[in-house]
Formats: sequence, C-alpha cells, structure tokens
Amino acid sequence: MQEEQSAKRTLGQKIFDNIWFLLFVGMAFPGVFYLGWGMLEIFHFNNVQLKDYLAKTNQTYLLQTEQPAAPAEASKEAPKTK
Amino acid sequence: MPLQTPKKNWWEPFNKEERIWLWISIAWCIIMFIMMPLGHMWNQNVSSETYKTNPDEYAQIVDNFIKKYQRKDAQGKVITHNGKTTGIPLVEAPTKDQGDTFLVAQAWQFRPALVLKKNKTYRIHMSSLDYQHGFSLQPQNLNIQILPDYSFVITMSPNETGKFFLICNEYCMFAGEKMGHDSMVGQVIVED
Repeated sequence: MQEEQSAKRTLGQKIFDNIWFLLFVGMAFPGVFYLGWGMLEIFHFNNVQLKDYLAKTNQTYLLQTEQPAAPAEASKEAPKTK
Repeated sequence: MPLQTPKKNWWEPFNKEERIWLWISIAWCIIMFIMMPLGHMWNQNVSSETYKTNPDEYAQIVDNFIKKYQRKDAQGKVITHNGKTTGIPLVEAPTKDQGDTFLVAQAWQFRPALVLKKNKTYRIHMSSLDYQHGFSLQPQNLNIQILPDYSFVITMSPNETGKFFLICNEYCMFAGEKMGHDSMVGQVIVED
C-alpha cells in the first residue's frame, strides 16, 4: 500500500516536501540575483577620478589647498661689520 | 486539532480558480520586470554618473566651492542657512553652464545649503566624508545613496519655488556615543 502511494507522488509534492531543497533554493536564488545586481552596479561605476574631471572642465581652483603663510622675509640689509 | 497531518499524497492538480490567479500573478511579474528597463528608456531613473574621489579631496573641493559661491549681505558678511552669520553656509549655486555644485554629507549635516534659481539646470555632486548617508529631497521624494570615495552627480532643474528639505534616509547612527541621524536635515531654497 505504502509503495503504491509513494509511486504516485508527483513532482510538485516531491519538491514541496523536501525542506532542504526549499532552503537551498530560498538562499541561492536571492543570493545569485543580489550578487549579480551588486556586481552590475560596481562595474557600472566609471573609474574617472573627480580631480581629472575638474581639470577637464576648468574647475581646478576647487582642488587648491590653502597655502601656508610665507615665512617673514629675511632682512636684506648686509650684516654690520665693525 | 489546529494542525492536521496532511494526507500522504496531498498534491492535487490546480483547479480553475487557482490556475487563473497563478496566470494573473505571472503576468503581473512579467509586466513589473519590463517596467525596469522602460524606466531607463523614459529617464525615470536618477543618473548614475559617478567619479572617484576621497574624503580629504572632496572636503577641500567643498570648502573651495563654498568660499567662491557663499551668499553675502550688503556689507560683505556671509549669510548662513538661518539668515545669521553662524550655521550651515548658504551658497548661490552656479548653473550647469557656470560650473558644478558640490554637496557633502557628514555625520550629521548636509553642507552647504543651496540656493537655486527656478527653471535653471544644475549639476549637483554629492559624497560622504564618513558613513553611508541618504539624500532624500522632500517632498519630491528624490532619493539617492551617498557613499564615501565616490562623487555621485544628479542633474536637476527645479520648476517651483520654495524651501525644500534634504533628509538622510540611510540610518547613519554611530559616532561614538552620539546619535544624530534623526536631526540630519539639509536645505534647498529655490528662488525666482
């Protein structure tokens, strides 16, 4: 009797009765698709540096750092000699 | 008994109603899937123009940008977002033809506050100096993520005047024991 019943099990029932297969599909499916989506995003970024873009568009003043104050000019007078 | 053990062979063919609902849901999935590439074609998606940078470089760029475009009063004193002389700098952003606009997100502020002109087009760069932040323009609900090391560019042409707010919609809680994500609000003012 039991053998007869198991022979009648359809594919749908076989799948939905296998909790480990469902766990695997539940992890693998979003894993693969989210990984693929993330990779797509990463490769979609271009590798142009912002400073190169600013140079190309004549905005290099934005990159200038503040110059430190110049040291006091040394006295140009010749040292006094005795 | 609330839960009954299913029959040994519980699988049964779909009945008519189940079959109809199954096909409706499959058709809806396909429609939603097709909407994604169509969104790109109809310019419904925010631009993904990006440049590589780093927090030090970007902070320098924003400081220089603010120095050049900061709004000043008749006496030449700088004005901030609250109309006073202290606070978030208020900047009259250059239009697309004049140059680019730079906005920085940092725990927990957006800097500078932007003044835009109605119906002019602006290229706005944004990057973060620390954590991941979110740029959410309200109430228009334009959303973009802001990450360190990348400058994201959006092109924007405001078509109505008023004061708009930027809120951070990525939870950027942590900096020691302080929390300020909920108070991270920026300003965009659109004038005629």
